[in-house]
Amino acid sequence: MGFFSRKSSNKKQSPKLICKPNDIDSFKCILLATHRNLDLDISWSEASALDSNLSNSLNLKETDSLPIIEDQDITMSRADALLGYLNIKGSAPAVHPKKARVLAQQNYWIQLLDDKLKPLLSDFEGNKDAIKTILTAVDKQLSVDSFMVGEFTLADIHWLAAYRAIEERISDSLTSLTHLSAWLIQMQDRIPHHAEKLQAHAT
Amino acid sequence: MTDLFEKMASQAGMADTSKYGLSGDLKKTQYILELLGTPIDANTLKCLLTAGEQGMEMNSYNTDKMAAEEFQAEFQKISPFGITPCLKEADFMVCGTKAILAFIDARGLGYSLSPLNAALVAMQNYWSDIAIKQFAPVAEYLINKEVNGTTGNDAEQLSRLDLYLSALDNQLRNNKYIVCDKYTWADLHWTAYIHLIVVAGHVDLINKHQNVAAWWQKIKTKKSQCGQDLVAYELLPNLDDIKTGRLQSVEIQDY
Repeated sequence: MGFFSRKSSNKKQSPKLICKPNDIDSFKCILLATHRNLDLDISWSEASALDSNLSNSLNLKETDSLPIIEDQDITMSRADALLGYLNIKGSAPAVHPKKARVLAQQNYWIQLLDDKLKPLLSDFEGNKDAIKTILTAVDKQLSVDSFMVGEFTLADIHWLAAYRAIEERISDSLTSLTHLSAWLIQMQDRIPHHAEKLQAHAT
Repeated sequence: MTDLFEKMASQAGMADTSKYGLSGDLKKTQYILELLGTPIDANTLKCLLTAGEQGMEMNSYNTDKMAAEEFQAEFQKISPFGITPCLKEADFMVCGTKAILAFIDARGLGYSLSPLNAALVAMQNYWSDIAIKQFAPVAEYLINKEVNGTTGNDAEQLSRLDLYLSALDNQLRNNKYIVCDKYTWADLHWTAYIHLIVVAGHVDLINKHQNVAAWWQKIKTKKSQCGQDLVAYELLPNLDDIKTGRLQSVEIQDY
């Protein structure tokens, strides 16, 4: 199987989403699919059979390729690819701001998460202060509007995924981040029952 | 208050006269964009390519031209987490490649660079991600070696380069562009990195891969997406530009 492969199949079934436990990218995919009412067959794995093929072809680290989607004749990996796919599939409207400035701000906050916050999480204790600084900036941003960039966008989905992946480790800090706490309550209404879906692997 | 953009514009001799409306001539693009970046940075090159593809006028300022201490103090104010490059449009400012590319694409005159089909979007994002996360470090290594004399494990880097170019070559077997027969973001990302590799003196490594070489020839002469008389690739800096810190601005002549 190649790194972005197709195989023939006539059966119509729900797309399979293979996720990694407590992985921000996997959580992003589940949250977006849940918000867009996409029916996915979610399973959890530390690594998949596809990984070894990917590793051979592109020397990727084994777990780099999760999450993965298998949808009928198509198999794809890498979060950006999956999120692009999930944001178009189905009949619900895509999460895509119409205004260029909102779109740009949405992407700024997504990049802050991916490029600045995520690398710090591998040594959570050692980077506690830097993580707090970023979360404080998010809290400040949320003091201006109810959502990350004024309206509900992918930035909310990305940051909700990050929060859910680290919530046990930041519970002490959360009391001082009042706007972030209020936003979380709002997100529970916006994407109902998402926490249960994200924790399903633990049961 | 004077911000970093105004200081850079003034330093580049582009303040006032280059601002929209001062000459009295209305142009299709309502505001001239302003970009802070560096010519050796692939992300800055992607912004130039996008502005060219979408026919957006943009004044570009090389941040290396400002004394490091002064720049850091000013830069901290506009990008507290150090995300680069940065873009300004009138009273709006944003930093980060993802943000800038999406902004110019949405503002521009041409069709969006992103396909509408879900599978094509996924494939576009997949190949963009490979370029950004896997291929970029190799391109950065080679251009930094050429321009700044940095050293490292050449054999390992060249082996990685060959691995990714072979994968890209395979992908381009049946397509005009990387994802399909239309130019997408995947092409734009790979263009920036491959350009830096070519500028660093390794065109032979590109030409070794037949399909990549053919794609590269198309990219170098492709007219911009927006229909203006412009080849976006020609906006990219050559080795001399990179060494002397020259960053081209995007000017649209044929309104």
